[in-house]
Amino acid sequence: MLPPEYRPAQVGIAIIILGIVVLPFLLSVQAQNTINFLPTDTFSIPELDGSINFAINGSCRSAVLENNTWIFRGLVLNNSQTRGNLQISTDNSNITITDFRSNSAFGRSQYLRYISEGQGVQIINFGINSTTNAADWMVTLNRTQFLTAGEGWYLQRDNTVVVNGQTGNITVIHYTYDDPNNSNLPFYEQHSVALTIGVVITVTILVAALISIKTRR
Amino acid sequence: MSAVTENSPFIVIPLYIVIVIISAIFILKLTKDKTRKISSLRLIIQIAAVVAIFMGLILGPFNVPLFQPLGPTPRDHLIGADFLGNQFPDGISFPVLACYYPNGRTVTCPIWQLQAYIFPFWNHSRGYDVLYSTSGLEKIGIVVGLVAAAAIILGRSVCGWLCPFGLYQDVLTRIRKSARLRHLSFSDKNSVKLGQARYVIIAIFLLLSVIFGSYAIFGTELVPGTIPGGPQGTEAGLVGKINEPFCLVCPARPLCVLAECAVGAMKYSYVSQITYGPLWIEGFYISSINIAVLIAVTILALAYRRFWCRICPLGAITGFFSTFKPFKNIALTKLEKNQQKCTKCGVCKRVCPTQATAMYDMKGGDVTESRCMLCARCIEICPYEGALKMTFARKTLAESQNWLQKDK
Repeated sequence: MLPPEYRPAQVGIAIIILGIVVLPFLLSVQAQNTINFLPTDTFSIPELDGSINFAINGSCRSAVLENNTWIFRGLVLNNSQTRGNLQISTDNSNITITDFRSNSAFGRSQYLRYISEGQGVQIINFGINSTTNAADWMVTLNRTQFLTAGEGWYLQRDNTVVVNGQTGNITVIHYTYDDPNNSNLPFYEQHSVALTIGVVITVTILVAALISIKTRR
Repeated sequence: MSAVTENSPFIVIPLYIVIVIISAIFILKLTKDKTRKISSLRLIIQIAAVVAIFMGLILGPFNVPLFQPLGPTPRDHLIGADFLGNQFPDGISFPVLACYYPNGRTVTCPIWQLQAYIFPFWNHSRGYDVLYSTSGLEKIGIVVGLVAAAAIILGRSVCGWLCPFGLYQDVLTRIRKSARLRHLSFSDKNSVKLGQARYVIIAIFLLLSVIFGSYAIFGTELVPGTIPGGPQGTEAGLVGKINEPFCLVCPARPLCVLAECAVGAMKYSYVSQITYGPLWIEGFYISSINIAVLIAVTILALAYRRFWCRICPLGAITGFFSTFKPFKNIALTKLEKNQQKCTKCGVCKRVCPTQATAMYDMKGGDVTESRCMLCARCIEICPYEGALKMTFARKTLAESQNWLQKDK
């Protein structure tokens, strides 16, 4: 039992906690339908002699096989946090997906990690609409070996990554960056944050000094 | 089908402000003990500050379900990142331990930024999913400028009233008090030494960053494996493992990350697996070194009030910009003493959580010192009217009251 002087503090804490807990219910969250899958579930592509498994449990809103490509919508694995779309096909190889991370609203990268058995071909598409180039992508083998574009993988115009002839733990990452080239901008736009902060600190010092001098008199 | 909710800032922020104001009024009305009023108000503000610092978890519209696990990278849902663009994509620096690693923070710990902008982002523009268009030196200037401005305006009250890790330690103190255990104290000499150690700690870790970033800064690689490697530059060698050395030992990192795991804002399975090596060596989110330090600091904070604040390097920086000349002369938030009204009873010294002594030792006037967090505990416990007061721009915010006589 806390001493009496702590009880108001507890009441205050309780109000805040209650507010935080109630807040979600004030702002409604809709229920959703999902398809759950287990590591034992196989998504096979019979015509290409390929199959896809997931290393861990997960769920998706839909999983459809079209043109020998599995299209997963709203896919999330239990070791990840956000849902995303993935189109994947595998030719003459069996793959086990270990990680999938979608590009959330503010996320700047998305990736797929899988273990490939058999030196076949894997075709991966994250559903990116904007134009990308190979510099925005990274493909690694066994997490340590960086594969150069054109050697082991290549990027198609529709942002599909084709990985060929690789066996092992493969990671395909796409990075989303803003336009890095702002060297053409005027100086004040290139350094607007620093200049703004410079103004803020100058004004702060001047006002604080003014107050200090004024109150000393 | 889709689980979408848009938590508009126009709903969440006013609601938050209303809850905080009602709570503050409620607690001030309910607290009858005059020696606890400021502490109770401070507790409310500390909790409100934690909610504000991690408001990205509930603020939208971010097209994600409320309180569902958010994006896996630290920057996801960081307010201000997009606003500041690629000149300063890590968000506004504010001198509290608003850890970089958990989701949904609205401001960023300056210690992380200072280290990261020395190594590996001194002149390397890519990494951690972001792109920097400005140099490391410019970014460091922005961080220092923001911290200096905050320190000049608020002083170390940010530590006493706003820091999430300060709240954690205050909760530990309340737990100890509820168990009716008495706190331990350092000798005055050791207390001063601890205060000085903060500056050594920050110097050591910044020096480590400079050593790691020596290739970019001086053109000589002093430690092998520190040249940025991999397509982003942060994937290979030592760069991918020890980027921000202080964060590997900071107790706030595991506390924030594990707290978010506990409320479902991050997934522990994700946090624990994203490591560059075995968890006990290095983890992107938490390492066993972090956890060991957190456990040690927790035990010490149970015994010694606000133990971490006595050695906190961020507190050292804030203290530097608010209590050392020439900044001391223009600092706006101060603790002031009226020597005529002080009887040297020493109660202020005894209740100070960080064992600051200037309000007792010094004759009068501005008695703010670098160890003082402006928590105002000394003001509320001082029984001599007007002997101690906290001021902002020379306007009195709180003043000691003669609570002994009034209670009779």
